[in-house]
Amino acid sequence: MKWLDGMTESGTREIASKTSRRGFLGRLAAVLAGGAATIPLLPVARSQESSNPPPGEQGDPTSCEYWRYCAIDGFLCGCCGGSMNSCPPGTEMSPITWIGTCENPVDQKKYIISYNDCCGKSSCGNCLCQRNEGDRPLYRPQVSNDINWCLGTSSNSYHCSTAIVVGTALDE
Amino acid sequence: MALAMGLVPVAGADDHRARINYMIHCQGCHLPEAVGFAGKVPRMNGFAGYFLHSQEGREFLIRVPGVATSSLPDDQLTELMNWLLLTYSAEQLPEPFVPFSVAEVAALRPDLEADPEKTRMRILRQIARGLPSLAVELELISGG
Repeated sequence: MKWLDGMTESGTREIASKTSRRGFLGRLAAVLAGGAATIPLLPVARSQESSNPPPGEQGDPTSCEYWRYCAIDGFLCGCCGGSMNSCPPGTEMSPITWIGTCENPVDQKKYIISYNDCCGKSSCGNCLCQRNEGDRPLYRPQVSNDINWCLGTSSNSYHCSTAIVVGTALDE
Repeated sequence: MALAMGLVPVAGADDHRARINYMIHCQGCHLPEAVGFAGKVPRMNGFAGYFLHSQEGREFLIRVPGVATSSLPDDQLTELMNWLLLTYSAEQLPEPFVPFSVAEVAALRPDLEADPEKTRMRILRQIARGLPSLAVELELISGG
C-alpha cells in the first residue's frame, strides 16, 4: 500500500503548493452566499422565485408602474431596504399571502404573483403603490388585498410588500 | 401514487389547469404543496382524503367557505378538488374513490357551512372512530 500513500502524499502536496486555505474559504463563502439566494434556508422563505422565471423583464422594480405590481396594495419593499423578492433586514416574510396574476409586457404572458408581506416593523412609508387590479372586497378575503396579510409571522405589524413570481398562469 | 393505489385519473380533467387554479385560488393560505400552517390554516396534504370516509365529510369539503365561495365555475372547482385529493391525499382516500361530479359540487356550494371549525372536528371525530390512522393524526389515541 506504500505506493498509494506516496501517490496521495504527492498529490496533496501539489494541491497545497498551488492553493491557499484563504482562497478556498473565499470560494466556499461565495458559494454559500450565492446559494442562499436560490435555496430556501428558513421555513418561512417558502415563496421563492419559481424554477422557471419570466424570460425577460423590463421596468423599474421601485416604480409602481412595474408589471409585477398590478394587484399590489402597499409599500414596495424595494424602496424599504429590501427588494421585490426579499424582505428588508429586521423583518420577516409572511408565508400566508395574497396571490394574483399580472401580464409581463415582454412576452405578454400572465404570471402568478405572490405578494408576500414583510412584517415585524411599522409601516415603511416609502413608495406606496395601490393598483388593486383583480382586488375584491373584504367579504372575499382570499382575493382581497385590504386585509393585513401578516399571518403566521411572529409580529403582525405590516412593513412592506414583495411581488414574487411563483408560476405561469393559463392564457385565457 | 394514484396509479399505485389503483386509482384512475378523472376523465376529461385538465391537471395542469387544476394546478394553476390551486396556485391562484388556494395556495396563498394553504401554501405550496397544501401543507397548511399549524394553528391557522388546515393542512390538506396527507389529510383531506380522510373526509371522504363519510358522506357528511365529503359534503363538508365542498361546503367550507374557501371552496364554496371560490370564484371558480363549478366544472373547474370540481376538477380542482378531485386533482387536489388525488395529488396530495391519495393515501387517505377510501377505496374505491368516487370523484366529485360537477352536479354534486353545484348542488353543495350554495349550502355554505356556517361553523366550519366546529363542524370539521365533529365530522373528523366521527370518522376517526372507525379509522385508527385518523385517530392517531388527531391524537385521540397514541400512535405507539
